[in-house]
Amino acid sequence: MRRFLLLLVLLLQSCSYENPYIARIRSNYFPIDKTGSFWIYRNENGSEKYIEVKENPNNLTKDGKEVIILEENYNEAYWYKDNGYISRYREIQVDFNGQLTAVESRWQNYIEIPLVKGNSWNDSWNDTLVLLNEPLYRTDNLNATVQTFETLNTEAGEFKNCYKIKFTVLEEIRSEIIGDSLFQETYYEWYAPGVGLVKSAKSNEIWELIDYGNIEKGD
Amino acid sequence: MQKIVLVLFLIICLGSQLFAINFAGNSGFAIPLGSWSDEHGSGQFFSVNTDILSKDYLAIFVSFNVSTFAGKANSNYHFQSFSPGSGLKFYPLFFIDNSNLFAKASVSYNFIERSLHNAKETGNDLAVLSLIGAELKTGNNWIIYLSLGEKHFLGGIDMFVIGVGLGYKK
Repeated sequence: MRRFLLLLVLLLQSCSYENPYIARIRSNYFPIDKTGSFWIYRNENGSEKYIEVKENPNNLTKDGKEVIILEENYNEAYWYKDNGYISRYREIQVDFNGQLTAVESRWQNYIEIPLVKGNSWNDSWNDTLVLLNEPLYRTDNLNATVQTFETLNTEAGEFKNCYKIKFTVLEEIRSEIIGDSLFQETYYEWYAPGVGLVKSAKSNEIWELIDYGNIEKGD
Repeated sequence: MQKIVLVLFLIICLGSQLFAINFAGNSGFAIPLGSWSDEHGSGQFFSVNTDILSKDYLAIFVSFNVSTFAGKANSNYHFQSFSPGSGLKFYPLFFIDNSNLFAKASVSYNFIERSLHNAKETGNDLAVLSLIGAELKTGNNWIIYLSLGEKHFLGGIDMFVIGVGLGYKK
């Protein structure tokens, strides 16, 4: 009897079953820090984009933070994962007489982690910059909300427990040199456990994951 | 439904304590193991339990456990669980002076809440807690408990548990 009970305990200890709630707790929704990881997306027009995590051999930093390098179609983007956020490094340029001029750069808190349904965050940025010795007033605002979790099917497979995030960005410029402008956009992104971004949707553009893996693992 | 379960459980706990005149309170640390430790730091727990049936080498007990974990990367994030449970205690494995070693296993139903700022996600899961420990008799009725073990949620997360407690047994 005693042995039977001990065996029963050991058996229960090794038991597991699928619990979506626990799966969301234990999963990494942003595996962007593993060198060689890649994601391939396709939109409804058949265009493809390839994103790969590149090695950072020289320990490149931006504003004191060691970056994660994501290469998208041979263009490098810098990301950072800590302090409660997935952050991206933004290099802001304005169009002056058809020529792009860099006016500022900084980290933007893009996604607050861990993901919890209903959570909202905001990254707001109001600056007075100088362009050709004249002031340029710039407002950059990102609002995001984790709306729900759902199952997604793409060409790369079925992804359960995907968090859907709604983003609203607003960029306003007031300048006597380049004039005033206002840009506002709403878009959605879906993140899958252990995979990352599997779908993004803007008003006229939908990108879906068609393949993913890690080059170093031979995928 | 959850409130009814909790109230019934507390009634059983209190009733058992009055009847059997034995109870124990434990407190300690739980350390997440595996991938979920990336976002969850060590947590504290507090539990009360009482034997409802006792034989020469075996006791059946009911317990109530409260655990709380802070976010590792985000101080605004919290993970809490409230878990009534029931289990078996095998003792004594062997005696050392006035003390003995025991092995304990319990199954609990965990009501879990994750919160970040004002957002909350709730869920539940079954868990199996396996402990080995020592009972150190400090008087006629008072006992100090030391224990360590592992709590396994059947959904697939684990934690290492280390605790100390005080009990009364008549």
